[in-house]
This record gives sequence, C-alpha cells and structure tokens, in this order.
Amino acid sequence: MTMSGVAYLYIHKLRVTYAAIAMKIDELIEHLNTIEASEHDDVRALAVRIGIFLDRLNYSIMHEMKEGKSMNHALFEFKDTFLAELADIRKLKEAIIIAPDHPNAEVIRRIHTLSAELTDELKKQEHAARRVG
Amino acid sequence: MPFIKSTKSRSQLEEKLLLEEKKIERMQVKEFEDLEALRAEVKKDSTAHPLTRITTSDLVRSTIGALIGTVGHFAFFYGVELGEKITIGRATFLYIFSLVVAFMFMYYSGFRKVKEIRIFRFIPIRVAVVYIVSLVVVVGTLFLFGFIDYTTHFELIYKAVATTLLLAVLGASTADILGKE
Repeated sequence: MTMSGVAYLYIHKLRVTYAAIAMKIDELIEHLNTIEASEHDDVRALAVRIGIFLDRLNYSIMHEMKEGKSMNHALFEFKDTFLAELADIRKLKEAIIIAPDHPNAEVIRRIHTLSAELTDELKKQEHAARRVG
Repeated sequence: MPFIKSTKSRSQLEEKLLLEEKKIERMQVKEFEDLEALRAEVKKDSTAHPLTRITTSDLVRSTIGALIGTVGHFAFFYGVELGEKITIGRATFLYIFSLVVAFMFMYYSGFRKVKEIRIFRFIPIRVAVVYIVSLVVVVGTLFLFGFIDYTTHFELIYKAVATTLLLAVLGASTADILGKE
C-alpha cells in the first residue's frame, strides 16, 4: 500500500471512530436538553465516558502526527487539519465535562456546534486524503 | 568501479527504505487496531447505556395516559359506534394518522432548553412505545367493556380500534411529555 493510501485509511478510520463518539455526544445533548437530565447521575457518567473516548482519539492523532513527522509520513501533509482537530477535540471535551453541572442553553449549543464542526472537518479531510491517495 | 559502488549503495538504500516502510506498516496496523477497538468500545457503550432504555415508568405513564384518553368521557363507546360506519380504508388511514400525530406531538412539544437542537434518532423508539401501548390499552378497554371478544370478527375489531386509537395516542403522548417535566 502507498503511503498516501495509508494516510487515507487512517483518516477514514478516524472519521468512522469519531462518528461513533458523535452518536454518544448526541445522546448526551438529548439528555442535557430535557429537564430530567439534571436529575440523572447517569448523565455525568456518560459525560465522563465521552471525555475518555475523546482523550483516546486525541492520543491517537498526536501519536500519528509524531510518527508522520519523524518518518516523513504522508500523514504529515495533513498536519494543519490535525492540529485544528486536536484543538476542537480539547474544546469539546472541556464543554462536555462541565455540561452535567451547567446544563444550560449556552453549553448545549457549544457542544452541538463543536461536534458538528469536527464531523465536517473530518469529512473534508477524508475527502482530501482520498484525492491525494 | 564507481558504477558498481553506486548500484550497491542504491540497493542498500532500497533495502533501507523497504525496512522503513515495513516498520511504518507495522505501526500503522497497530494504530488501526487501536482505533477499531475504540470504535467497538463506543458502540458497545451505546447499547448498554441506561438512558436510552425505555423504563417501566415510561410504560406506566403511557398506559395511564392512553387509559385516560380512551376511557375518559367513555370515548371508546363513541369510537365503537363510529367504527361500524367507516370503511377499512378509512380505518387504515386512522392508524397511520394516529402514528403521525404521535410523532408530531412528541417531536414539537415538550420542554427543551435549546429548541433548535432536536436529535431525530431518539424520537422513533418513544413514538413506537406510545403507539404500541395505546393499541394494547384500546384493545384491552374494548375487551373489558365487552365490545369485543374472541368471537368478534377481525374487521370490526380493526375498525373499532382505529377510531379510538387517536384519542389513546394523544393521551399517551401527553403523559409521556408531561411526566418528564
């Protein structure tokens, strides 16, 4: 497999994995958005679990970037978009962790927007990787 | 001589590159496996989460709402009377209409902090529960009050249930929404 083919495959896997996490984020938004959410300890547990999933995704991207840098990997071409994604994941995680304690409209909107933006970024990145590959 | 030397160094370089590529491939496979494992874990988590389950209190709430809609003002009595006058086609339309009403009612009503954010995927399961509970309540009520029994013709049951279902669905949907608040 060519290096750009590997890059495409990685980005595809990354997008698919985030799509699964995004479903959990939707679930969290749904519960935060209704009044019963604040009464549930499960919402807090869900937020923590999503935070862990996002951390693992973050680690995977950082690891991939490091490898790309040291080995002149094709993935390094996507350095800028990876950096943007890392920043978005961090912001998203921060919003998700505080959400159960502050389930207000502003926080819910922020999580929803960041998650949608990240999904879009990953789709665009996958599209670009497919073109290169 | 220099030609042999350069061929040798080229083959060494190729070998080195090949080794490097294999190394990357091995690391990549591990990275892919890690991502795959993460995805599997997230998906597994989706099915196990208690908040997406329909609880007993949801069922009880819908049943009480459907009962109020059906038995209140003896609506089922008029439902049976109307059922005798309508065609199978109209009855079928009423079944579909009741489902649409339940969906619209639950989708557009209810307390939400951010009105514009609605996540579609959680609505169908609740609508299905409300609809099925309403059907069971209507059939049960008609059976309890002696309008239908084991000998009643299916067509009559079908039409009588169709005319009462809308009220039951409205009652159950209201209870589902109000119960949360």
